[in-house]
Amino acid sequence: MLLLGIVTLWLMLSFTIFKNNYNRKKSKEIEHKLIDSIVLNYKNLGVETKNNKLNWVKDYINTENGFWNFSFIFVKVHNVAKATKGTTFRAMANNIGLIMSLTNKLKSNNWYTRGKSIWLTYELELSDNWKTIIPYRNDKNKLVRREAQIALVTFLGWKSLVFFPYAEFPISLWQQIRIIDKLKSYYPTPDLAYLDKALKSKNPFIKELLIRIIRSYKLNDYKWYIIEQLYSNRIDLTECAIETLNSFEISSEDILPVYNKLEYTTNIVQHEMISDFVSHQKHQELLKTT
Amino acid sequence: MQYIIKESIEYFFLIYGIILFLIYFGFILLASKAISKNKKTATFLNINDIKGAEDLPSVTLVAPAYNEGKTILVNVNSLLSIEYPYYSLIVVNDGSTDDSLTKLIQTFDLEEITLYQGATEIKHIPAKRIFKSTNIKYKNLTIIDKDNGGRADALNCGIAYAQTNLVLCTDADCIIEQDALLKMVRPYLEETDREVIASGGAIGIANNSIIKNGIIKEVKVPKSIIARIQVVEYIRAFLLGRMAWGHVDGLMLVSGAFGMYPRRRLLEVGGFDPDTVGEDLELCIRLRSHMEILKEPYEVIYIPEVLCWTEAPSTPKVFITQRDRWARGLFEVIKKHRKLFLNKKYNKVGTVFFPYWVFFEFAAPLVEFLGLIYILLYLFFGAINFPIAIALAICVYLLGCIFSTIAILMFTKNFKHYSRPGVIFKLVIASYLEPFINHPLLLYGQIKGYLKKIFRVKTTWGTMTRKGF
Repeated sequence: MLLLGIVTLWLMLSFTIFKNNYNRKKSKEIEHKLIDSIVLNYKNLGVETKNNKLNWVKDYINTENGFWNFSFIFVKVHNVAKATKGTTFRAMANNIGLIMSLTNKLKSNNWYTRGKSIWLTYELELSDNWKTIIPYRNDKNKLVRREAQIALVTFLGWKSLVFFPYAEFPISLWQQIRIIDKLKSYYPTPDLAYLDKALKSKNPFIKELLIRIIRSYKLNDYKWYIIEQLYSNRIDLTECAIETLNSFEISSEDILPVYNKLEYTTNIVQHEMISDFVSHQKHQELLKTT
Repeated sequence: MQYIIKESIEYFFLIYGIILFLIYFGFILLASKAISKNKKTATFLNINDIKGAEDLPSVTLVAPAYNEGKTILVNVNSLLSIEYPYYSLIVVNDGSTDDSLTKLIQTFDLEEITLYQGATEIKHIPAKRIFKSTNIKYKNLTIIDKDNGGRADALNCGIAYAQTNLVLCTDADCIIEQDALLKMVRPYLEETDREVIASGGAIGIANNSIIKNGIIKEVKVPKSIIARIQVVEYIRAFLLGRMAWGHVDGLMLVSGAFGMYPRRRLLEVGGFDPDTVGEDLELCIRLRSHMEILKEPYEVIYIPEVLCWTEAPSTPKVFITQRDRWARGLFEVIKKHRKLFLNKKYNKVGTVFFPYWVFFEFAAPLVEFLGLIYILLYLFFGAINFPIAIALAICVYLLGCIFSTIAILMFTKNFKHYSRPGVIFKLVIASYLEPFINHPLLLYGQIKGYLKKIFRVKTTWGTMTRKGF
């Protein structure tokens, strides 16, 4: 029986090697065919001819694996070419039924399908789906809610900050990095009205994100918010505020209230961190004056 | 009475063996679940998305070097070419008696800077000189020269001088994948509920692989059978063992060759223990018990991708020396942390994970050795039942083969390093030869190590003669 087990494992191993090689070749083939199909869209061919040539894709994406394999390649090619002709991709995604399929997958009960669908939605910039995504921003699955929040930022930009004060879960640093990345690539000019509203929020989960946004956009006028967080009851927020403040020009006027509050701090670690920061800033100030 | 003793001993061996196999197959189930979960999660954590981010935590790579003049330049160049925006490299020259330091000074335009004191929370042999490069290209490189104090002491020195949130401890002779740091910081960026106190990646064996400018160009199967068998051993240990333990939050070891830690926590516990040769295991256990006492939520993460490559011993002598050292390390750590054993104060660390290490990592070679003596005694007295003994031995051998084949199958399914049929065939055959080649050497090394500790034979780290990849 044990020998039979070993033989079965050999067969499985052989099948895995064969399958891996097949998948690798297939993936390359699809990539080439996809690029050919994209080129086809630029050619002056009739709609029917174009559709006929894309029939293989329609069949391929009907399977779960085929759908995701194709989508990953599609996004890859899309990211390379989006700077040139974004609309071609959208039309193509529509023609092959990708958008329709995706809209259905967004409502899936499976967290992985839902999360990947949200990811695909914002990567392909299918903004029509944003209303479907909104409820997922506080999904119990970490990855789903994260993708949903990134999608909202991609589609709504600064306006999406109105949703963050209602965040029910902490926002990981990875998520913050992705949110800021999307915000900066799609909305490089800050819309301060929405930022002001978000800054009024008492929700502890978004404070770090807001600090990082202020730093990322070098919003010097909002330094006060970061200074306010120095005495937070969360040490990581104090640490983040100090790191961020180091990237700004700090004047003695900024430092004074921080210094005055120092003696009332009972947390030893926080006290040490802030006093290091204050003495470093004083030293910098001294260097400037001399 | 004699009959009862004899039966008890035999049942002990049988039950111990059955439990061990059940645990191993439990590992397979847990590892499969963990791999599947990890694969799904990884699709959402594309490192290309964070490459240019300015909010990434800064990392210091600490690499101790002792008499590595032959390879030091290639290795430091390799470490300097790692893809990560905010990282610095501290190479601690641990009292090398060769030309390592001179070579480094000349090649990297090093200049001695004013000696200053690092963090005082960690004890180590004081730095004698500190060098920084005058060349802007190497601005993130620091070389610390100190008297020899061993690997743990050199790492402590590097940690004391690091100024970043995270510290990655490695060896100067390891080859690190270019994107390793981006992958290593992932758990630190992702976690919100629990603090990641340590993370480690899989270690690969690079003997006979093609390496250019300190970067692995093509992974090859080692020519030496001893090293080749270790490839399977590493796959089994990392892919099944660590993955499974990681899944149940029971990781007690982050490999010394490649482990990342928050510097704050390292300072709190005083860094590595220079009095043990199992400093990686010791640190991880100490960090875990520290967090248990603090009652703060934490986790130790294992990243299943091979991020660091090393040279495995390829001769019996070096292999035995290495395993002797590992056994001594384990002995020292178990002895040092014996208070954890079945201690509820440390929660699962004390009641489950540490006892596992005692019963099945520490005691396994002893049980095996005693079993062999028992068989020899039976042979001597002519009391052995040959048909049953042979059938049992074949069963155990085949079960071992099944276990190794499953590990290779899972690795082939999920990773691309060994993908050619010929290579996989070689690994499968090597694993089937393990009980006849590496395992006896391993057992010999382990028992030798234990005996040295029991009889207090004065020992050191032992030299690992490197042939070069």
